[in-house]
Amino acid sequence: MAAPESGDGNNGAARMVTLISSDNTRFEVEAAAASLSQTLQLTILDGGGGGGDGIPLPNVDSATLSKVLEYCIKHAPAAANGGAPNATAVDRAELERFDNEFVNIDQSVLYSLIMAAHNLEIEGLQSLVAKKVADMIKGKSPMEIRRTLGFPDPTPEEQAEMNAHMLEYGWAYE
Amino acid sequence: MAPPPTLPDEIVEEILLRVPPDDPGRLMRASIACKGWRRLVSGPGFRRRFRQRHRSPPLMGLILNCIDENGVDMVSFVPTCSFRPPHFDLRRWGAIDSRHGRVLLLDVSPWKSQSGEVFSVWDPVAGEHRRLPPRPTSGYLDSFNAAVLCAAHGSCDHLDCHRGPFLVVFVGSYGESMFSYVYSSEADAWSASTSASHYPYFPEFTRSTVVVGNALYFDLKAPVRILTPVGILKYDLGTQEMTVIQPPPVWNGLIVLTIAEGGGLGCVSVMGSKLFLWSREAGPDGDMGWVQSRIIESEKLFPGDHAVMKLDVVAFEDGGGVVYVGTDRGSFATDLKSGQFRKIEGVSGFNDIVPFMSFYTPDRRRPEAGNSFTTEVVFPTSCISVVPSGGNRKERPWAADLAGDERARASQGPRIHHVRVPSHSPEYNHIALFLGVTDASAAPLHDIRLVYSPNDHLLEQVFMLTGRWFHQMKGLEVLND
Repeated sequence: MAAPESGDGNNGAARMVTLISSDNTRFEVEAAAASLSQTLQLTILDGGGGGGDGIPLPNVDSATLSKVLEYCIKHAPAAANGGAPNATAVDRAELERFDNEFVNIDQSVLYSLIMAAHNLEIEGLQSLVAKKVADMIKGKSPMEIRRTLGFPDPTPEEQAEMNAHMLEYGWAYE
Repeated sequence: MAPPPTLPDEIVEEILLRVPPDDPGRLMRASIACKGWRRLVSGPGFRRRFRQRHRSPPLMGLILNCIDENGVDMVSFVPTCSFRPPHFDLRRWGAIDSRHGRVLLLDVSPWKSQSGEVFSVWDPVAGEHRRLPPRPTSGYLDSFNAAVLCAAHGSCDHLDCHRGPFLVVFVGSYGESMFSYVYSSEADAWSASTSASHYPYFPEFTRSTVVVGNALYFDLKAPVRILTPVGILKYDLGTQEMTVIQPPPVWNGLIVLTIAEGGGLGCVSVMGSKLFLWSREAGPDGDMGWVQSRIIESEKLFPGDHAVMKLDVVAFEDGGGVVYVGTDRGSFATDLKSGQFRKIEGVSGFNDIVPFMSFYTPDRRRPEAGNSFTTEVVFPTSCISVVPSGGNRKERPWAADLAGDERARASQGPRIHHVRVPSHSPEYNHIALFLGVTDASAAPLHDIRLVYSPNDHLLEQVFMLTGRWFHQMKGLEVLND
């Protein structure tokens, strides 16, 4: 664990905060990265999460949290520039490349990620993952969409509804 | 790790909001994939947020004015994305304008000169037609044009107003005078405008129209073969006053009115292989004048090839910043901002097209399946002979009945048939359009009454046309005689 910081966080070194996942793993990150989460930002502004206290995140497991933090650390510098209006094209291209690789993951991880991004209110990540899922269902039938998203097989009633829909809106299935 | 069985609504919405608006099929299929999703995406909240997020409605298709295999004028919907309107081959109609999710159709049947111009407003997304009543006075016109727009033109963002009230502005010229009429869908009536300005050159209207600010602009050209623009008619939507303004100094070919990059009135003209972009701006002395803002080269479109022989600007997406150019190599959508050309499949460069832009999200406000409607149609017996003989009597007993009893009927006078048409049949909207039924969900009606008159020749062609529809109709039922 890094040396504890003073509460004001203005002593030169970046202020660190500790996040605790649902399975009790502790993650130490820069406050600036964790602050990408709207939920955490308020706690951090109030001086929470420093030292040995840590901020418990009972809804996020350690595998998901480490993924979330990977995103936050990468995006924190750009976010600190106020959405990076003066970022170079190279920087933007690098972030875009990172984002594309970042969501190139297993469907179940994507699933936990979208829940975590939602709970932690990390706007950029929410948007990134939602876009990925929207892309994943491109060109797929309702049944394939269910399978892609890992939903159980439809009930007979749902199946009948799907069939009727296909009859009524044939163009959407061509 | 197994995913949870359901996603919260907020997340589903986050995902589905990111489906591109030009892929409405994806949204439709997703909406039915999971219980609850359909309710979510067809609700007013999602509909509004989806539109606000994407801002400009995508191009859904091109309304193509063409002729069918029998030489009958018709409008056809050429899709540019997955969306297909429920019924999209409308015979005896021509499309003249499209804006705010609606298409303005003009009756182009041969008897139109007798009965004056008849318009219909088509909402391809809702699958609804509204046949407009005739204008209060009709008479000979040198030239006319008309435009459709949302009635709340000043206060609406036009993202989801295609089912709301609308206006049709009609402008006509006769001799040196011009006049206008406005149809309001709320009043379901035309009102005559006071303005009648004089213009000495007997101009003709082209089809180009654009709404800029609180005014509607109509392009005018000199009559007979001379394509030079001679003026632009400005119709003030607030005061209903008309004024003619100078066109840009263009002496070759037609212009298409556009919205300039700065938001003011603009236009595009063609010379050689170049598109010229003009905008109307205030000069140093405060007077409004035309400024050539840009030139787009079309030659780079065909590198290393022969120059294009034909290049015409044919249409402008009102609100889309895209003009359509017809060339001898096909039809191209040209983005005025980027200068990029994109080939449009399904139409040639010589086709007469009206671009149709709209959002499409699943909507529960559709007419309920199973509704049908009642109205009376007067048909002349003199055209009975056009009913195809033979065929399956069971499918169209009325036709066989008519053909066999022609002479007797002519002497007996009007004769009435009741026909029930299910609203989910493809013919429903054709007939609804023809009969002027606007909203079947608001007034569920039953049965059609067909009245055959021995003397009325006015609807002869319609009868043939309707006969065709009826011939195609499944489940047609003659209830009594």
